Amino acid sequence: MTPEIENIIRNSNFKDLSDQQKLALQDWASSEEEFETLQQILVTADSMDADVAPSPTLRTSLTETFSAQYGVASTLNSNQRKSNKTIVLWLKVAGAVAAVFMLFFLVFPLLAPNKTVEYTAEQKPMETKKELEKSADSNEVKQNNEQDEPSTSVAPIMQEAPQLARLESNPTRAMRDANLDISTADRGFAMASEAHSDRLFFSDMPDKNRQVVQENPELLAILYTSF
Amino acid sequence: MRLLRATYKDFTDEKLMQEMQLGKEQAFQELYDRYAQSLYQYFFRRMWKDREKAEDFVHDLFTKLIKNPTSFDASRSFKTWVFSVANNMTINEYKKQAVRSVVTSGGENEYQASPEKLADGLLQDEMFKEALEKELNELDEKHREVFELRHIQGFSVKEIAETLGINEGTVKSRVFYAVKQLTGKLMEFKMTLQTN
Repeated sequence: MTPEIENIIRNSNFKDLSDQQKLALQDWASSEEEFETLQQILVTADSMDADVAPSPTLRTSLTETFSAQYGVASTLNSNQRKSNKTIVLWLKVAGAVAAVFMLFFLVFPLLAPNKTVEYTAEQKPMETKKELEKSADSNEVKQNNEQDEPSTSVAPIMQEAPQLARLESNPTRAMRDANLDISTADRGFAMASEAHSDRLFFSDMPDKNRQVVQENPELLAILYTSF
Repeated sequence: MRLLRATYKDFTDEKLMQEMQLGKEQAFQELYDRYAQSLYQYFFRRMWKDREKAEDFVHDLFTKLIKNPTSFDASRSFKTWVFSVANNMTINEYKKQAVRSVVTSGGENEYQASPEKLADGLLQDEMFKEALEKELNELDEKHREVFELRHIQGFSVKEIAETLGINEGTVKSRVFYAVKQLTGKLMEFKMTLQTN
């Protein structure tokens, strides 16, 4: 049976065959029944024993025989060794990473207070700097005030009162004032000012006004009612 | 390693044998992958469908290949050489057994089936397969082996001739005879199915 004839038998219907093809097949299949039976034989033979296979242990056994014959390490075993080595390597890496994290979390609380100290140490000069700047500003205001004509009358204070009320809205200023060494009257003024919605700070008053208020405490009441 | 295997996959059987003689295990693995299954099927059919015996024969054949790789004649095709070795092994086994056992047995009644069963096409295919097995076993050895090599193992006529050490004309005539015998018997079987 030539490959051409085999191909015709496998892939054709008898009714579709040309006369020439039927003639070529004459020796193998002269009738439709014979043709179909032969077709079925070839197709069935293809699938015969398709599921028959040697067991995997046969390969292992022969590989070991080969290794013993040629004195080489079995690839199967060496692959297993390699995979074990890889697992050990990854476990080591994972262990190292875990150790680093543990060390970090152990050391972190120890480092944290030092960092706070460093922070306050850095902040201190900055605050000093701010205070210096502020004192420079107040000196400037003082100098300006000195240039003005000194007066102890109440009128200028009354005029400046609304401006004073708008001076500062920062509550920390009140805290700072609380730490200043000022008289009870001053403190009372500050408290009265702070009690009002528009905050007035004693420390923010020009020195000459502060002096006037200190000399005439009754002005506090006037100022308080004026707001 | 994968690259190495890919390289061996491109090698011819004969080249793989040369590499195997140099102790290259991957070459052996590749040859095993190519031939273990078909050799197992060959022995399975020739050794009366005894799986254990078939596996023993495959093991013995590959062991011979490992222990004595120089027995391979490099001027020949590896495929036909290894199957001729397999064929000789089965002949020796037949001589040892003296009497060949016929595994499948049963009379004409084996082909009988109920009409309900006949309606199932798959069942008919399965029954046809069993019938083919039976008729193959009924054939004499020389016709059966050429049919199996040609139509189950997929050998060419030339390869069968080299494997069995006979000329191509003999192979062709044996294949023709086997096919005609099987077709005649199985046509009867199909007619029996149809009448039932």
